[in-house]
Amino acid sequence: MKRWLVGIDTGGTFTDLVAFSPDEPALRLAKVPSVPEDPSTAVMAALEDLFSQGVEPEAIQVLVHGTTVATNALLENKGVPTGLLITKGFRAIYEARGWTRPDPVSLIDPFYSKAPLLAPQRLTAEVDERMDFDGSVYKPLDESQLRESVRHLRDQGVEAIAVCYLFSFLNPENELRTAEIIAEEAPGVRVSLSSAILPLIREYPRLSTTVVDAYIGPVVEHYLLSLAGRLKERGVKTPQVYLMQSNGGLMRITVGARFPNQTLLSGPAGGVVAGLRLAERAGTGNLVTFDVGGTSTDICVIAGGLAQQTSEGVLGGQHVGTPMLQVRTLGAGGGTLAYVGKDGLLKVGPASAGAVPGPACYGRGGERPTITDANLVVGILGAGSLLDGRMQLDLGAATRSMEEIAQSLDLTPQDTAAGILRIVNNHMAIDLRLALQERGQDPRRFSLVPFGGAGPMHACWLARAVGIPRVIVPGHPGLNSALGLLQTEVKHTYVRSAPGILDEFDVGKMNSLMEELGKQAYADAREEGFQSEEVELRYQLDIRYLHQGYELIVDCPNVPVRQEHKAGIKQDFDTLHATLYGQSAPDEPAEIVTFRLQASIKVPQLTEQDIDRGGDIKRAFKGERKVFDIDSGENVTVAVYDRSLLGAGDSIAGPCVIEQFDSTTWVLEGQKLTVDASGALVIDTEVIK
Amino acid sequence: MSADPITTEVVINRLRETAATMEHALYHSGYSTILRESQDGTAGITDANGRVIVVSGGLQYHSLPYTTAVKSVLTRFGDKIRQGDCYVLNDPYLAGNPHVPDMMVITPVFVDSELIAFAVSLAHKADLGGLVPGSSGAAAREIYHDGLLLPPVLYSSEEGVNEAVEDIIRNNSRVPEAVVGDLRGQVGCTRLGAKRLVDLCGEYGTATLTWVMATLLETTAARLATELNDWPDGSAEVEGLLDHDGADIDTPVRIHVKATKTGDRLTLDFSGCSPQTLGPVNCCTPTAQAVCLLAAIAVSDPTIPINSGLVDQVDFIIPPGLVVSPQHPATVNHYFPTSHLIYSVVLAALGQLNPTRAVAPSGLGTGALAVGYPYSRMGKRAVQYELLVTSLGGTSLEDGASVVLPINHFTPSTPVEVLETEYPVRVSCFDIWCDSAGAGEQRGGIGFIREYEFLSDCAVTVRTSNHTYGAWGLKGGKPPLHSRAILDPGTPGEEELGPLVTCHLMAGQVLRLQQSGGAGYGDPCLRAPEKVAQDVADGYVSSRAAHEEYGKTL
Repeated sequence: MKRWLVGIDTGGTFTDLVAFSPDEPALRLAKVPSVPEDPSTAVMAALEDLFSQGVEPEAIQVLVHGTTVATNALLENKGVPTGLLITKGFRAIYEARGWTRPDPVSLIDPFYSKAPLLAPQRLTAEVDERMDFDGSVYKPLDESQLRESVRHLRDQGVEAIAVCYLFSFLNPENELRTAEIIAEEAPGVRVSLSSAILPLIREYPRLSTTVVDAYIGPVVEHYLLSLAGRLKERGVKTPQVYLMQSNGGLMRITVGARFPNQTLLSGPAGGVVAGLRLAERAGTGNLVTFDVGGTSTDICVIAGGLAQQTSEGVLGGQHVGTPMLQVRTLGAGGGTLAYVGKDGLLKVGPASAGAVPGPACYGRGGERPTITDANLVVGILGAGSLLDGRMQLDLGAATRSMEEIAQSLDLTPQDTAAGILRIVNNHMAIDLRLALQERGQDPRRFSLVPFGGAGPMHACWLARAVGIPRVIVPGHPGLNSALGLLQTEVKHTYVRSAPGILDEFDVGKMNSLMEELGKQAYADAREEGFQSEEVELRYQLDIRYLHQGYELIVDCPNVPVRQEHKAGIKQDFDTLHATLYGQSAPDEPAEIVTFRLQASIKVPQLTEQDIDRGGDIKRAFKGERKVFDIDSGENVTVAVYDRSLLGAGDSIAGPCVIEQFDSTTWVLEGQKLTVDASGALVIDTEVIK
Repeated sequence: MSADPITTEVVINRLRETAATMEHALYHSGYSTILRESQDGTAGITDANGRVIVVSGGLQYHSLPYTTAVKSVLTRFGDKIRQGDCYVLNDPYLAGNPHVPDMMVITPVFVDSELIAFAVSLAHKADLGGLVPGSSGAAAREIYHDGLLLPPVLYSSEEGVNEAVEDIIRNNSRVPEAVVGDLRGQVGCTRLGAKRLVDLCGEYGTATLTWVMATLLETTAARLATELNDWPDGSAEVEGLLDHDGADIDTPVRIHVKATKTGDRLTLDFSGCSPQTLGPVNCCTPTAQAVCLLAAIAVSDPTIPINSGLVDQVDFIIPPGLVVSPQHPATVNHYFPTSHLIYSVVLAALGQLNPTRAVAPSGLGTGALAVGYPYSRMGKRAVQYELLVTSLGGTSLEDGASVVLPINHFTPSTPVEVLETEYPVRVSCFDIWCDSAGAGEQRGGIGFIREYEFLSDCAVTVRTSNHTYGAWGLKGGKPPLHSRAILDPGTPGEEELGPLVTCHLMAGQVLRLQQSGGAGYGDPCLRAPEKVAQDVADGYVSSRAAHEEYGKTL
């Protein structure tokens, strides 16, 4: 029996499935409508589609799932009634939410309001206890008062309780005891301890992260149990069922309910993982993934083969410090709307026509112009190019949608469409540059990897504008996130703050802190059904100069650490600081803030096969069409090719359009496209290197 | 010269990108906690005459004073300005900066030997000498007490850092490393901005860039004009009081504005304000005008881009020698609550002219706490500096937001765990303050209590303002409680401190700050009973207040 690896990615509109067998060259694909009320229904429907293609349920060796259940529960305020236990006297920590106002317009707006407290004050109880700044007990835990508070919360009907005490990241004793008491007084209530979920210094983000975990935990748990049950019922018996996490790694579905925050960025993570794999295959460590969806675009910089992690995520106004891939999101996707602003200039986004009514050209009732309409009007997108012509686009409707703006700006509809594209491309280019700058990276050393159906229509223009010399269009841009599910390993990040000056930090204490993290990693691995030998560990330190407010992550290659290793760590930190911020202070002492461990475990992965060699590009030639060049304002005649008929080594000079089932690629004049052995389109963008 | 509307939009976005890039560089290379954690700084671009084009960062009233600073550099250095120069200045009477710790760095932008713009940044320094750690002392009586005063001087050029200037700065600060570290971060930021602007000229042409910069100013002016045109003509007068100036504690300081709207223009007359004060509550005119202009867009359309174009629609009547137009050498270190009050009275006056955007005022008395310790946890002399916030007033739609800075200021709080790790202090509470918000159909945001137990001797400066005179309710809404500062609460030695004091404390003493909530909007009796019940359950409102203020028996 052939063995199959199956990736299923739940998206806003569609649930995508990709299946791979080492014994078969072609991938099996399925695309079914998502079911937001019960996403597992769509997951099962996608599987039924696969089974109808002759794959047996028992033949599934590995199943990986990208889910939006956690994200939606948070964004739509559909978590459970949540209680909160805090150190006595500190009710304002959550209320203040870091006391910031997030963006320039809200800074000015007297009507500004904050995101709701997921655990309201009436379900918050103060606990008499206090740790000092060094983790010593300043006030012991008042257990009888705590029991009373827990009973009160239980009687209020909370289904989960978050616990966040001051300095618990240094000494979790009181939080651990609190968990025991909750188990006694309110059995069945899910408990989230800040010292377990995010043992990092800075109480507000730790508290917020813990409350999010409590709030969405039972929802995720319920979903995963129901999904696991349905899979079993349908004969998918493999123990190797995984979830994609926000950090780009997998975790066993059986532990998923313990780490609900880890699935908050499950969707975008799949695409980034596919990008990482592509980087490996293309022999480059530096690329930028550029995932254009219906309403937004996700950008992730991969430098030196690594995607950056962040601990400063914000979703729906809620702060989540759980380590996740650093993805920059821009409010511009295929359905993003164009309009004339109050200043009389053309604006694009962030408002979107969404899936319904969608772009005017979809003929589902949309009348206002979107980016997809603009691409159709200028001819980059062909009326019959979507889903191999199964979905016809209405050019007339797209052109009509431009007219109101065209009249007010005294432009033709075509000029208007070109203007929309120039502006949105410029927005995208700015975000690409800012994403690279934040990591101190030079675009000339990068490749741009566009995906999502619309990504490859914009990428060549963007790469030229930003100064990125190469675009790599993956084989299935529209299914990239699902593919990514099958291209990674199990990954967990463990953190623990313990501030101290690097030079003076007792190495014995450093080693025992790291040993503790290691023990935790091994314990989790065993719980997930792996052997200790399978676990690979990578230790890191979050370091800053004294007085600085934020840290950088530096590898700690030698464990156990010896005093003489510290100079090397400091040097790596100085170098990284200089790269990111243009300066360093080698003479200033550095301070360790957090110890960090990345644990990984290999699981079977998709191995992509090379495609056949080409030779005769005429085979793939579909015809010609006029494309309105957005820069010169002239119509140019360009050749259109069918990607499925191109072979390895084929080469085409721009301008040209490459069409395929799930995407369209637009190559500019002066650029040159080559199909590589893997089938990726590699485009030399002709920027000055 | 002109550009098509598409190119114009594209170049405008590129200018914003330049400011965002500068902001990122500013916040991420600074040394002190105030710049990194509080983000108390801004960066942006002016044209060759100092008119502000675009600014990024969380402190928007910083931006318009850039003009004064650039003009000072032009006056002093004129033709001697060279590419790569970085000028530094912080004398409020020359630089327009709100107070002495806010240091400006200015870098000219040359294209083909033509001066086309300036890249500017402004960032708060942890300490520049003066009477107390943190520089801004309650006992200051003239600007010389506020710390080191730099006129425009050349800090660095293409030849490198002017070490003499840097030595002077170092020698005048209690925390020289943090100050010089931040200053170098500012230089990196303005140089980066200048380079980006030169690149933009290469891409789109210098003529296009300067035309778009001018267009940005015109558009902002035109958008404000359109908004003003929609309001009925008329005038409104509002005044508010600061408790006192710190020198004469028996006399409140009055901020009075008469706002007159005629056609598409607005006149703000401050003739009714108190004279300039001996104590440090004076607010220099550039900052006063900046908060007025921000209030104008807050009451009309907060999406109007902030730049010097706002100046063109508003006429100011500000006779010299008032608390909003102090003359040298008046001290200005405690301008913050004053500027907040100016913003609040203008917001209220303009709310009368445009009632659909009227809101109840935020709690007054935003300010700061500065604590100087002989030794930090790391063994060095250290200054803990925290901004003190309040909450927003109720609006026609919703309760006021709790615990934020009301005036155009992005400032995360310093985490308790960071404070205690860095300084010998224990924060004994950071709590919500029941009944501190003004009652209303939409109540104000909730005030808070923050209490510090000092673990070593230290010098503490409290700078707030509304212990006696506070905010007022709107449309039947009630005022919030006044702020308080209490030394050693609950002990025999308990002492109510004034809003503006410096005191030397011993280890073990406790300081409790109670910061006012926001004011209420609308008659409290009209508040939905279930909301009142929820407020009581949440601890925002007491049962007593539910009964007495809201007329609800629970």
